[in-house]
Amino acid sequence: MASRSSVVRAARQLTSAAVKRPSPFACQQWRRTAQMPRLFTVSAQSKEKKYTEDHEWIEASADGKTYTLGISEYAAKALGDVVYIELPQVDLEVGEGDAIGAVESVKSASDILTPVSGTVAEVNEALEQKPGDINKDPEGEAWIAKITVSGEPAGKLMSEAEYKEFTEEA
Amino acid sequence: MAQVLRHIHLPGIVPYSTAARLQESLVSRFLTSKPPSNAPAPPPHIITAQFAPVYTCGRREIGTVSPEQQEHLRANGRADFVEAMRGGQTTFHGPGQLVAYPIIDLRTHKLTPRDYVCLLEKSLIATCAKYGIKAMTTEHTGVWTSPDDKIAAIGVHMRRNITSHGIGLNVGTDLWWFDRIVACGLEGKRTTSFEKQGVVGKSVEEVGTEYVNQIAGRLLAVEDVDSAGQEEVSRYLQA
Repeated sequence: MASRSSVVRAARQLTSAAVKRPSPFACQQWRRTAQMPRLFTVSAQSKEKKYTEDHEWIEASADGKTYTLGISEYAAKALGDVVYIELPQVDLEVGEGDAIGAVESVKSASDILTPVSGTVAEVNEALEQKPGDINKDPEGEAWIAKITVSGEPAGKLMSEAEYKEFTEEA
Repeated sequence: MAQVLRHIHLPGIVPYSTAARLQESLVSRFLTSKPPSNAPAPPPHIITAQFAPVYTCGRREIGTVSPEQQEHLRANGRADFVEAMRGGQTTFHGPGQLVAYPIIDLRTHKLTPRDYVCLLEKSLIATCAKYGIKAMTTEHTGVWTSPDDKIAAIGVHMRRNITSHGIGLNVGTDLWWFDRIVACGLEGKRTTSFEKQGVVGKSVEEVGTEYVNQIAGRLLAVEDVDSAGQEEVSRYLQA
């Protein structure tokens, strides 16, 4: 039984390796993105968590089709106790830079912007009941939305180290 | 880099929508100057005004104020009702109340949202002190003359670090308007004003100038205040 499933796994790995082999389509896509001015390097590290200058973070799923979005720990601290979170509607189509919701703390409502275009696949409904959770684990359990993307994010994004430097400048 | 805080005072009693339009156009000027654009960022602005009677609800209440409640708030057409995108809950603005809306980029002045609300509060307390009114902050936001008497309310909005909305400070507001609502969602609290505190005869405009100076003095990189001329203001009013 065990040996059979490992064979299946091996076969699966083979097929997925085959999919990753450069195809004419992938090549075309590569050429298209390469023509655009690049502000950062997207390569093997593109799956790591990235940050925007407006203090959102995004992280791609293993297959790169869905991005999880939230607000950074720095932002959660800077806002203070969060009393209300406005979440987007599931299935809403969003464009890069659109406001998809808001985080409200001490009488201030801050918009949450999405750095990726796509469709809202899932929202963290638990936050509606317990908005204060965003102060506890904003970069983990208290994510805001998952977005099925239509392409890679094109705007300026920072790695964790770059973002840390950016917030220390402030 | 030294900057000048542009003060736009809308004279007389203006509808909420006039200030809202001006505020929106300033916010979009700031937003369009953000990267990748190379356009220079506009200087920090502050709008001061006195509104015709209007109840505004906060962002988290949008869609929750029933038609009957709205009807009640409108007081037979004497007041307006508007849903605002700001933080905080339902409040009232009207003649005799100073409304001040700073439109600034928090990053330019190295402020977090929390610092910013604190700066608005400190400037309010200093303004009250200038007129001999002792005011303070409590566990609730806003500025109070006692733990139960609120003299100023705060409700702000931020997009990409650009602020909008701001404060309402009661100078000679008819406090009857507040008796009709649970202001800012706080039961058992009262609203007070300069007049109720015994400071009479102060105009909203002069208190506004004082408040703007207090803000300017606390904003990093801001060295001076520059008031918009009559011509510029009437252009905003017509827009």
